[in-house]
Amino acid sequence: MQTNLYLTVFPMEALIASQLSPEAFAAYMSVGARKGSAEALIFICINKENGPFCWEEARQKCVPHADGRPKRSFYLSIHRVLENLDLETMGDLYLVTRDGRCLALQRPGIGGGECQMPEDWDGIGLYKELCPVHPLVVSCRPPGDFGAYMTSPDNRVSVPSLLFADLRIVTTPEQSQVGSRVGTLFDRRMEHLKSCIEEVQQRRDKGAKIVDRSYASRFSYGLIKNGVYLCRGQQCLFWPMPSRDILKETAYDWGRSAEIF
Amino acid sequence: MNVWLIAAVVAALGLAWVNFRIVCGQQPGTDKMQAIAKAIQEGADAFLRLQYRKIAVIAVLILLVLAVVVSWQAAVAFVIGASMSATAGWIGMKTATLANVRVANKARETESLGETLKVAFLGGSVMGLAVGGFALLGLGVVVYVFGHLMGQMRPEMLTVHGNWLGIPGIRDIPFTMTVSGYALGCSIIAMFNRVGGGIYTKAADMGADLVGKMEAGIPEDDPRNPATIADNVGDNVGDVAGLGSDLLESYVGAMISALVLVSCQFFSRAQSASPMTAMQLEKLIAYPLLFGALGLLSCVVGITTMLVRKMSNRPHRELNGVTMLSAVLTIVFTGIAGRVFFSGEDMASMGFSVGWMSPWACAVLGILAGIVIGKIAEYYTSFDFRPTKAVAEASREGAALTITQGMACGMNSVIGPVLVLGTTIILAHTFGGLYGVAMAAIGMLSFVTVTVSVDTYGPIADNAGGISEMAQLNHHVREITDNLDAVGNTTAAIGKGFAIGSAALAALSLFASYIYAQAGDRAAAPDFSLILNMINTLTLSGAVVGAGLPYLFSGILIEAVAKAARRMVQEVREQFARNPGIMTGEVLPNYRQCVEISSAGALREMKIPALIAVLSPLVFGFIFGAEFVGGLLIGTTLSAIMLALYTANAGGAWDNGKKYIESGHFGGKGSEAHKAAVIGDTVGDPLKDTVGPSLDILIKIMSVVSLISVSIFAKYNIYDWLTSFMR
Repeated sequence: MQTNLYLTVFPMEALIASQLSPEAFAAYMSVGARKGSAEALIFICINKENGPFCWEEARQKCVPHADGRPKRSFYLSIHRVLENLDLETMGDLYLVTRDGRCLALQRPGIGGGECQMPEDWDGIGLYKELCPVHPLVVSCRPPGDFGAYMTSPDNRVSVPSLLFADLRIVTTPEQSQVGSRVGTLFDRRMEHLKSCIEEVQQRRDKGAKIVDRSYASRFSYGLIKNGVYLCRGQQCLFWPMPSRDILKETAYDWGRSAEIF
Repeated sequence: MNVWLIAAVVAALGLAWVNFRIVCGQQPGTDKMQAIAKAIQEGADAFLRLQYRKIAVIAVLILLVLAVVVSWQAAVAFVIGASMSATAGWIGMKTATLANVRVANKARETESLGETLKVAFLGGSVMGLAVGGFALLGLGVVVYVFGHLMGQMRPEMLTVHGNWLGIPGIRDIPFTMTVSGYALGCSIIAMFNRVGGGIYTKAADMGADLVGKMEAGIPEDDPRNPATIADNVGDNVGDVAGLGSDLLESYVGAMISALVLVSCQFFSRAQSASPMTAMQLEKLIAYPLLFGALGLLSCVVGITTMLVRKMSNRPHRELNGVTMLSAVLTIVFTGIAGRVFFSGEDMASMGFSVGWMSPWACAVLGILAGIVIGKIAEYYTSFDFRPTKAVAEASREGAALTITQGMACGMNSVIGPVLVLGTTIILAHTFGGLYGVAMAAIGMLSFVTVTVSVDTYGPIADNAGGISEMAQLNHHVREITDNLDAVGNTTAAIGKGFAIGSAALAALSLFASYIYAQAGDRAAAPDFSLILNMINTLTLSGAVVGAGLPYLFSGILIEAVAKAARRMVQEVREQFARNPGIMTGEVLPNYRQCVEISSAGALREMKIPALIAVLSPLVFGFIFGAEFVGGLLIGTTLSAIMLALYTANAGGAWDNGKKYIESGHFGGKGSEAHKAAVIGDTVGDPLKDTVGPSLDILIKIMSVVSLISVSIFAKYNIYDWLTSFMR
């Protein structure tokens, strides 16, 4: 029975060894273990053992149960995991809904052009930081630049690595009338969002402005615009989010669970 | 008239049979789809069988009371009415549970909205045709057998007769009792089907939504939700069988109100300077039946036209088209018939002000009033218009304001329909007296066959969507069924407007008949006038109590839904907690347990509200007498109409306000506004689907029971007995 390595990045950072397939692991973590649990989850498959973790112990402990059932989870670490893993070993990223359905985002490669400047870049980015910190921020920098800025040691408030998603921005009720499903960004946060955008536009030296310090419980996958980014200095990984049309054809059930359809 | 009646009934039931066969001939889809459909069929069959068994016990009691206190003819008519209503409900539900999977499969095979709409409408038309056909069949049999063959309609028999047991003081006109018995039979089944089905469907729906959707985050109709089969069963027993019996009862109630009124008027005017002639009597009794027959034939033509041509991909336009075509044909056919039927009659002596056109014009007024009331309902409940958009917008500020705005929308929506009703009553009375008012009620429901067909198509499409979801069919299939379902929601709100409006008009005619019946022999006195003295303290007190009754009735119903829903919520939570494999898809949930909970809840809770409707006129009558019950009827009718309009439209606005947000407005699904709108919709669900539709049946049951029993409690009541000592 193969042992897989999973880096959960949202809502909790952890490195877990498991004998479950990614889909089974997704279901187990979100709904399958604790009675009555229902929790959205994001995790990344790790292709190779690396970093300063207890690999030997994991190999010993992550074995099938006496009755043949696979070992579902063995936690290697729950703190400062992301920063200690080699970006090259990062595989597909899974977006798991509260009811346990998962969507695999394929990783195209490191440092692609999408990281630097998305095609539809309009001068403002709304980023939901997913790991290791969780705020919602706006920035005048495109995703790659933003990631580099946030992980630069020159920056007073930086992290070694940052996983984040860029979100769609709707700042007027009129925009929402045309079917933009912006979920919890609408209304009460709209005025605040607008003022934050104005602030970063006026003060070009300001790398980012926090819109909301946590935004964990209100984040939904329907808000993701282009995809999920993992930055470490100038290195950037990008997992593109499929378009609505593609999702409808290939992952309709996941889309319904994610309240996209 | 007989020929037209027979032709209409044969055509309607024949077409229902043909459509049923066509539905059965469609492919039922994959094994998985068939397994899901089978579970829904079995659940619906089992519930209706149990429900009918429970109703049978109560029906036998009513039958015995009628046979002993009124007449065996009324008792037999009661059985015929109950049988017709139960049969129509059963056939409709059976067809709907066969059609749902075939609709889903048609969408799967063709991916064509038009083709799928045709199968859904075929299924709905069986219910509609069964309602129209069985209502007229039963009424035709009762009128022909008891009225013609046994002579109850002969002029000499249309007088006040004593009770067959010779109980002193109990006197009534036999024919009015017989047809009222028929109406009561229909009403009793309708009440139980509406209340039982309403509790069933909302308990399952709320259980499925509150835990499955809101707590566990799984989408609508997901097979992992233990309550999802019960939810789909509920659509069939509540929205199909319940709706069919309800509108059959409304249709019969409208017809009966005219027949009873004419009989009472004939007796009352017998000794007057201008008595009604035998020919006039016959024509005034025959015309409502003829009107009904021609309306039914128009619907048969409308439905056939719709089914033989190619459907477009615009379901709303297609459904509106068939409704309008049937309405126009009804107006034309009945106009011609009225011209021929009343030619040469002295219409002025019958109290008609615009010649032969009078009864027809009143019926047309009813049709127009129904359409306007329907449009007002659409205005207040469709998200194409401001009121529902306002409810959605209020959701941005939280659930409390969603509920507040929805209540405001529902309350605002009442004045329009009541102004229309008031105007209709005045105009109809100007054209044709109280008979004209009864004709307006008949007109409003003259194309009930199409209304029910359109209304039934909605739950069939809803079920098809559920099956598509559970069988995990392609998203195109689900988009088609969702599209059809969305149109069904609006048509349902319009249908409710017709049922409530016709109930108000029919209640007025029945109320006039009540005053005739209360007067007994005195109704024939030359100085008799149809007056209800509101200053009489008994009448006024009755009106006050009557106005409160619909609130008690509604409160009990909502409580019943809440109780059953709570049990469902607990069961679904427990299943998820007991077995995490359900959520991971490794284990199937226990659907049967949820079906049984809904079923048991509905069967347990449905008795009290139904008994309130039947017993309250009797209890108050035997305590306070006929004047009190007269006030009680007025109070109940007025209060129930307002409450029915309010609940139906507020519930519709909450429901569609949520859908407006789900279509992407104010943040769409997942937004704070959506969460608030979901709460509003949950509050509105039992209001619009259980309380609202049951209130119009409450009005008619109370009216008919009062009419049948007034001669008894007018003579025997505690108040008179006590005051006789004080004098």
